[in-house]
Amino acid sequence: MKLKSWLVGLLASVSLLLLALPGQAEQNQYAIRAVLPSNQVDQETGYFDLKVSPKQEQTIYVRIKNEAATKQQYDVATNLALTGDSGTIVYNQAKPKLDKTLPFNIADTVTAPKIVTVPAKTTSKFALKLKIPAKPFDGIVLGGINVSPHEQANQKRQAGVTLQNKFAYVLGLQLREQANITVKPDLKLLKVAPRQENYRNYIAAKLHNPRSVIIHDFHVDSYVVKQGSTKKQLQTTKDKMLMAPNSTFHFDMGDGTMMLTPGTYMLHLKANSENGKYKWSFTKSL
Amino acid sequence: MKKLGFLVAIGVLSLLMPARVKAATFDSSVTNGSAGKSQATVEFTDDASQMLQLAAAPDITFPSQFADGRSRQGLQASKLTDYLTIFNNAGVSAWSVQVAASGFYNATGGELKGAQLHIAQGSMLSSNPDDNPGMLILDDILAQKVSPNATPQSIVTATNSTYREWYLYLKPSQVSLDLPETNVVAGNYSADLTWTIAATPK
Repeated sequence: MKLKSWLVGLLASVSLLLLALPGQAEQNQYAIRAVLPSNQVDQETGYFDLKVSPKQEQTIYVRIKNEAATKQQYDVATNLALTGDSGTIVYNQAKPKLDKTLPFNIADTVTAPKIVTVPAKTTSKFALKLKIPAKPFDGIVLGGINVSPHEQANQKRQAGVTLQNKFAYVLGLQLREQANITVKPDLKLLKVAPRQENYRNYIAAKLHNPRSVIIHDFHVDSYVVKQGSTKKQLQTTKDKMLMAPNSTFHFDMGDGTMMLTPGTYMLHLKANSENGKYKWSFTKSL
Repeated sequence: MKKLGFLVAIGVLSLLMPARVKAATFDSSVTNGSAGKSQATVEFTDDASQMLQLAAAPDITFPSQFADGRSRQGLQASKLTDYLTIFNNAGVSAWSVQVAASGFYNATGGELKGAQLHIAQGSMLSSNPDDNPGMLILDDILAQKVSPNATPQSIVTATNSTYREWYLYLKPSQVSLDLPETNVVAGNYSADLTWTIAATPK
């Protein structure tokens, strides 16, 4: 009987070793800034918004301030702006699938160092060379200059650390050939289908911005109804979203836990932007 | 004489102008009515302190759990230290902070499949809440709830901010973790949280 109690105690103490989830304190020791050139449209923004011409070549600069006591290396990557599935413009995709309506991939117009070294307690700048394509374009082409600390390939995770903070910067790089943008936003519903994300199941509406302009202040209301019923299911509303020019994203409905029973369903989706200035309405079966 | 006055005016103005170019050289002609050529060199310095900086991010601690195979929904953080801190000395009016999370992995590469972090909508403060509790600023700053995954999501968005310091205040109860029902191997599971400050069109 004593042996049995001892075994139970041992097993209990072993299973306590489990999901220890401490965090790791982290302070950031660098910052970056765009050096805005004379063809910058608005000098008050913190990102590049350049009025350019076909075939134009230009060098722009970014400053990096290293506050650390040792020299640091930083990775630099210029990526096309895309729309993330939460309705945010993201700049972290190195090899994106290009939308057919995109005038060109801004990443292909930029030549820049991949790694920049900055001495301790110093501010340095690096150059990015732009070469604008010969074919004129309307609206804007948008990308981002990403800067993050360079990580060694064999860098090991610290033992016992479970949430490790990392810091990164992105500077917008917006190109236009007209000072005033007259392109109006548009929205298309490409398809609606089940989608799995992080082991959760959603019904997703794939939305498409086919124009070379950002959809600002984007609001979506949606639900599905089973054929022969009036009950609204997976009712989902999101606002304050943004869509990158010439991009798509999955508008996920529900919280990923609710399953639909077999049958035919109809999606109802209403969207608007800029406080209702532009409105769209879609229905589609799935 | 007029030329001299003009040059002096240029020199004074150059001292007053906000510097953007590292160095500029003026090749000017003459002074005091005599023929000749002189060169005036003006050094423009770029103020390296004028940066938009993501200074710190919260350190999140969760309590230890038994690996009993049962799911956990809304497991609250036990401790949060530090605040998401933004120093805006560049006067950038529109910026955002995005957060992305990797999967949770143990030392041998085993994944805690389906683990999902949630961060509720916090409060934006214009001074460090440890120094000045109760200071609450809401104008033109939008703090949003997020469930970070591999794709960055905006946790804070400023469209017309004029303040120089911002702190995102969150309570431990506002940060939670969902753990799926799984045969999880006991040990430490680690995920990267990448905080990105974006000076981009809004």
